[in-house]
Amino acid sequence: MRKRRLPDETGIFIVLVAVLAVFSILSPNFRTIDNAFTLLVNGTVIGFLALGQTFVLLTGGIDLSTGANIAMSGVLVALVMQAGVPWPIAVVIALIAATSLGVVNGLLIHFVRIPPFIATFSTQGVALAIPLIITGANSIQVRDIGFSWIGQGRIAGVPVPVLLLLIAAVIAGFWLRTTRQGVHVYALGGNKNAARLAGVNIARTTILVYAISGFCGGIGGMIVTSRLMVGFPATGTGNELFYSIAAAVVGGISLFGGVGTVLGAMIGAVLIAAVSNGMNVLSVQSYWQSLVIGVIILVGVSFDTLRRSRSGRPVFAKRASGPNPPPTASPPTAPPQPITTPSTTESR
Amino acid sequence: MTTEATAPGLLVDSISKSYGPTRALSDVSLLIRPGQVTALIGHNGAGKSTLLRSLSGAEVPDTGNIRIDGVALQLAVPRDASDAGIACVYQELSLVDQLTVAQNLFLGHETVNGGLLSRRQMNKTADELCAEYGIAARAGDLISSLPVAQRQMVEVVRAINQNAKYILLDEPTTALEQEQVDHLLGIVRRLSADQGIGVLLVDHKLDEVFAVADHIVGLSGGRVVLDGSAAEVDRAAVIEAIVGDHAAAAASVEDIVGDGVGETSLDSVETVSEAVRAREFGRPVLEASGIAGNNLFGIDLTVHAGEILGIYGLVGSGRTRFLRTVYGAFPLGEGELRLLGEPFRPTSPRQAIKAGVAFLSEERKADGFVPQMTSIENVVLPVLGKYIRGGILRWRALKGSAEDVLSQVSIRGDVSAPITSLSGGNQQKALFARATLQAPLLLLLDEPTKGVDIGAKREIYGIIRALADEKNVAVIVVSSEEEELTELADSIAVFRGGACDGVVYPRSSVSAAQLRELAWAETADRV
Repeated sequence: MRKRRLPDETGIFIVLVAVLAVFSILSPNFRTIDNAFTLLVNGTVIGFLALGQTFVLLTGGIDLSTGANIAMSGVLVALVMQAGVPWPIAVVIALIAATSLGVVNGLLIHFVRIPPFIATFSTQGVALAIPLIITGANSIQVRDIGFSWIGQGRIAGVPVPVLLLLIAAVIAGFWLRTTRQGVHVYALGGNKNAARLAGVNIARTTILVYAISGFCGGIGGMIVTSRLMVGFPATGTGNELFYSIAAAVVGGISLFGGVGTVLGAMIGAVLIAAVSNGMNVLSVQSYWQSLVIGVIILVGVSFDTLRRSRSGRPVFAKRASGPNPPPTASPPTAPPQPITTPSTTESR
Repeated sequence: MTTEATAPGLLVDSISKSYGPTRALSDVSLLIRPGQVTALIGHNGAGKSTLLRSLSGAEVPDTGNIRIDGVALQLAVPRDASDAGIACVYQELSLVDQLTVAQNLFLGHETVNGGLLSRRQMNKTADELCAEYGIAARAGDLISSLPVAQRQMVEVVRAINQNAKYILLDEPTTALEQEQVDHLLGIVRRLSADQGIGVLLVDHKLDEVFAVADHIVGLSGGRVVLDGSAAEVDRAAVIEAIVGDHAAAAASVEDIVGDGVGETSLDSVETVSEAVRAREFGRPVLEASGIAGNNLFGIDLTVHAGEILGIYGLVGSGRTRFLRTVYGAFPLGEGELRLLGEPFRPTSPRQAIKAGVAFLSEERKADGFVPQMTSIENVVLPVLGKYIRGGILRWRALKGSAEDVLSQVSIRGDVSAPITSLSGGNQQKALFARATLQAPLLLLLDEPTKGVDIGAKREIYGIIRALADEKNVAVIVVSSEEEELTELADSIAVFRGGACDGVVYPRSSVSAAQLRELAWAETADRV
């Protein structure tokens, strides 16, 4: 859909290759096939969250509830299996619940007009509390051994979660490029008003992206519970959400909406997983990980912001439209002045 | 006017300002006297806004200067103007809705006692100010709970409270009911008479101007065309001056002023009846009757297949609002719309598009296109639904169609690059390509050549003409440029103060000056 001489993902891909090269040189343990799979499997949860986050970020929103969704759906699937329901049905039920959380986010954001940050911040709290309340903070054992296939199985030597993520990412990327609804996601994030006037169904698109994000959080919950064979109510409270946003953003998904690809976000997820895994292998204290990843987010967002302001759309529109007096322009004794010239004068 | 250089008051001393090749102000001089109300009137684009911005420090004139009591001012930023005692009250108010009346009145000038805000004293002063100026509000009321008129007065009072000596009011009465207008004008009067404040009032309504002003200054094409005492100039002279075309105006202005009959007095202007239009063009595509609500006050209008109907009116006369109502972007209040004879009540642009309506926004960048997308993607956005097989978009067919319509409008630039890489004129042509691809019954155009160079303008006229003649599209064009309408439109309707009576003038019988006169004359006569 977007023809460029060099794909936008080239930059982040080079960074990934460089990071992998550095870790491989530093540690012989890092460059083993086994570790590669460990890295990827550990990365799948972040990858799924980042995938869902990609849809939401493309519309200019954000989903803070997806980490909590891991805990909610992960405990729910364990509880349903404990009640004697076969694991495939339990998985379907848990995924429906996870998707519903996303739908609620979308409804709150579109119809109640709560800003995405606040809406998903609130539902995050709710989604974190539900499993703790139901289980009394106890873990729920999973006895249905079939369920372990999701997180621990292998097909032709490749771990199942990695395959699942691959399939999901391919479908998602394809969907965004080749369906009407996919194009609408970009249009909504690029310019909501223009999208509306061009006939884009804003309500449906908004609800859909949050539902997809919820669904992806649910898959993350399945993988976590399946790997541990325990529904653990305190999962998802850690770095998953943080890492997933980092992955999407360093992968070139604009926090302002309308720009980015699934491929970029997935490379970003592998990069984050590699940094995390590499530091483990090198026995760096785990406290350093979020520091490093925090810096990665900052760098990614700074690039995004600069790119945006350079493309002629000021990031700080209000400041740009009305020149502010420099602090030295008036006597220091003068009290601060209210805005006497609204920035809207340009429109007249 | 250099002889007045030392006169008391706020003096605009022969300032000029150009934007690129356009001269917004040329050698404009005027004096705002303390204790008097000076009314500034002029047509769309006459330079009023630029003059206001120059006085409020938002714009620096190329030449000339601004003086107070003979002393030249350096107004580089808005702060300089307010420091000099000049306050500008725009239509978009700069009050903080979530704060109280008192907090707004003292914003940035809070009364502080020992490091703490003395709220009681500020509230007391605020209540006194409200009582003094007849504002029906109390110090503790939130601004958001007040009607527009009260907010405007709060802003005026704030300026006075902060020692403004000169107050510039930009069309303060546009959104007000008659009773509130009288109240506001009363306050303006008192401000100048009792407190010795110099007021510059920008207003479109001549009744109000004559009711309150001591002096009247008319701008036309960036020049002062009238400057005199309100007692000495009459309406005829005012209309003649601002309408610009002296010869054409002189003939009919007498009648307007003479008996106040408004519409019928422009003798040389013929109207064209619905029957004649129906014969000349196709069947009626859109029929609007009694459209009201949301600042519209009764619009009757019909447009036929193959007809280009121009809508003329002053900025703020409801033209854009009407178009957006037809397009489903604003809710339809009272009245009825019919599309091909069927009742039509779109609740979203999506529905309007499905029904065969296309729309081009006045603000391309704000809501016309998606900047991150390529021209091709922008063109196909509304018609994606027509190019789906098995749920999958047929991008090749979409691209083919898009390139086809884009080449029809002869775009210069890379259509596979983000649309923002094109020039303004080419962006607009791309949006016309989009409308063409929609194959609409009805095309709504809001200032279709805004910010477009002359060459592209010609091409756009050609595109619109071709849509009407070859595709039999009914086109409604809103424009502030009289020449654009007299050249492009088959028939022209005039909006005034949110209303339109359905009277349509054939292009051949109405001149640019007469259009201006129609827009002004009846605004002036409406009480």
